[in-house]
Amino acid sequence: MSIGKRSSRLFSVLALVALVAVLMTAPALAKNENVKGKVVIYTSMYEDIIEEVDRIISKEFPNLEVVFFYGGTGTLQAKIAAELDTGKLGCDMLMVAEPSYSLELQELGLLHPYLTPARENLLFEYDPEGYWYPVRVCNMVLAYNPELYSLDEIPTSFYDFAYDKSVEGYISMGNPLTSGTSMAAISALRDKYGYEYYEALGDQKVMVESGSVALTKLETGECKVIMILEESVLKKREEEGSELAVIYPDDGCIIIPSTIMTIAEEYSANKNTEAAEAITDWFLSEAGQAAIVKGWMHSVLKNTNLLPYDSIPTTQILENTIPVDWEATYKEREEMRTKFEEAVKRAR
Amino acid sequence: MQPSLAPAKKELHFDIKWLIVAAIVALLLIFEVFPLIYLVLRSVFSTGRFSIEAFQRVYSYELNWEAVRNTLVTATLSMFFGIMIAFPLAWLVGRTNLYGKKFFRTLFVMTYMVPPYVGAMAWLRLLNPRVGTLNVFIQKLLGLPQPPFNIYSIGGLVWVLTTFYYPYAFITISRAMEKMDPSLEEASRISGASPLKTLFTVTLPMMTPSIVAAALLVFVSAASCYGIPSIIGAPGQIHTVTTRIIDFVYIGSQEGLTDATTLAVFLMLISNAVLYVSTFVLGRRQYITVSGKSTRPNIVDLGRWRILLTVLVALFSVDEARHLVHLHGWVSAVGHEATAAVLSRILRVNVPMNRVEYQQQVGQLAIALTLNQRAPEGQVLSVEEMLKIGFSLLLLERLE
Repeated sequence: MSIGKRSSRLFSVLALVALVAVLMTAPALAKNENVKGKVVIYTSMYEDIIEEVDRIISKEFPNLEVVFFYGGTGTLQAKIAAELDTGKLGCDMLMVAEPSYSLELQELGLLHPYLTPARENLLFEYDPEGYWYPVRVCNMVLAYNPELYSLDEIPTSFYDFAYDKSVEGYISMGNPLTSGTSMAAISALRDKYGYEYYEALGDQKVMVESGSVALTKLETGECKVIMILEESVLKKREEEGSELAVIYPDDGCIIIPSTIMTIAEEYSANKNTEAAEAITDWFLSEAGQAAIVKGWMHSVLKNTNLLPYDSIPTTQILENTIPVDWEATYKEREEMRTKFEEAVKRAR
Repeated sequence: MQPSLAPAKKELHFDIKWLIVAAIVALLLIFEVFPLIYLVLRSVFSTGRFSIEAFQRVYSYELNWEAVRNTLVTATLSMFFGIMIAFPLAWLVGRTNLYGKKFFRTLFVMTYMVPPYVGAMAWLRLLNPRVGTLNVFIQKLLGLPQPPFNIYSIGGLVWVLTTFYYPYAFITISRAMEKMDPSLEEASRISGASPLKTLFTVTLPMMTPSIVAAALLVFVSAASCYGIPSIIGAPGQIHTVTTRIIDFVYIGSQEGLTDATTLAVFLMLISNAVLYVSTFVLGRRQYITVSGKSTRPNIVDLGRWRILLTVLVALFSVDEARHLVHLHGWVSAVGHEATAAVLSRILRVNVPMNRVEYQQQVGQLAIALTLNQRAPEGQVLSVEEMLKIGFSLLLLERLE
């Protein structure tokens, strides 16, 4: 075969390969470009993470307007409860709170079911009908200040957090009335240690306050050990160079997934279910999860190397956990809140 | 021609002022009255029909009654102590020849500019019962077995509320004091009364309306405050109506919202009751002086007490400055070593010398030290020379 003929054949093969490559990628590009309109998402993710996600999503969905509304979990839940009075919500999607809240909204008929293809790759439980999926994972752990105390002076389990008298009056935790993650934590601890655990926390004179105040007290030495979300400590370590350290409790971490939900069309603000489903797929993809872990939370995917700053692998955390019964957390919420309040108050 | 006996036809004139009045009334109705009406309606019509079930649920829970009691106690005590601090300060700044009056007037309203949440964090650092900076200092100074103060108490809550809301009373009373007609005070002095007797028999009774208004302002502000009770009260399990309202709101359910509005109705009723009582009490007497001349404040000569009172007031105001630097986040832009040393001594924190170019941002506060007189050209002053010349502390805020 002459050189000319060989070159011509090679060129044809390369052109064919290029054409196939274009044809394979074209449908994906066309799919995202076809996603149009507007979607409003209520979320409790950190604002700087929202900015980053917003920037990426704008490129992924060039013809879709995505509006993020940021608020604390309690604020967003109150906003949704108030909007329900009018019969319509101001959002199309929710990325807030944990599965017990998803169960509540599902029972009210507010959610749209969607079976995302990404569900096969999820490491955590999700609703089998597709009403909610975990999109990011928070871990309730303990934290201490190594600059003031050594690890052998500090309780390293949730049990000792409540029963070790050497830290009486020196402990702090979030308020289950205002914090969904604290509510999940006391639910899991009740299932493991009984309501006596609440009495023990009361006898320990636990201070019940926000995480930011507790972290300040850890730094000043007013608290020796606190019950807090891992992400709060990792954030402080990365952004401020803080020496505060996480203790992954000996009796297990409490894993609290935060969920992603699509609002049923009759209640949603923009009735753009198709776009909401596309966004759900994106958040549960590797690209979406890469943005999530920048917010110091763990990914929900199997077989991924994505890890938040300075944390230990998710699979390692999963080896030792205290499970949360989400249905019980939702249905017995009032009883647990009241018993916790009374136990903590009684001891003062 | 016969004059017409028919009545003259009246021409209608439309006065624009009634349009403005109507607009103002409409705004008041929309932004003030309707939300309050909604509050009450929601608490009794939460199930769609009239029901006091929410009131029974909320007010049968002991913790909520405790919150109501704590709110009344802390608001009343803050009001009392706020007036006790504000009135003498207003009198000293407005009606005497105290040194540095203008400076003190600015300094006393400093906490007014600081969000209560941030200020509460500062007091938490100073007076927490374990490692509070001020607490530990006093414990060591007096050789006590443990720190003397516990900020996580009703007393601690009252103290922080008072330090934050006394400026409201100070502003109200000091302005009224400066505008007060001095002729009755002059008459009292001419008749032989001492300055103190004139204060108690003439000034104080004439200032009653403004004192009552100031007290009301402090009471309502303290009762409706959330930031301070959430930081100072929570660790000691001291609940107030505002913290309970937020607890209920954050439950995030319809029942939670209803319970929150039911508790909020209490705050509304208390505020109206206090306003009614004060109006009734003031309405029984007249507080008007009628004269033909313009008012000019009567400056009381403090005599031999001038320096001592200035020092005491200065100590109080320096305490305010110290409190300010214990708030989260400050940087030094002091380019002179002796100045840094003097500031370190006054504010009791280590102020390093840091010769940098500094641009104050909008809303940022800055403490500046100014000498009482210009130093000789080219001379770098020592600490002793600075103390000899004398100086003032200024608080600067960039507005735009």
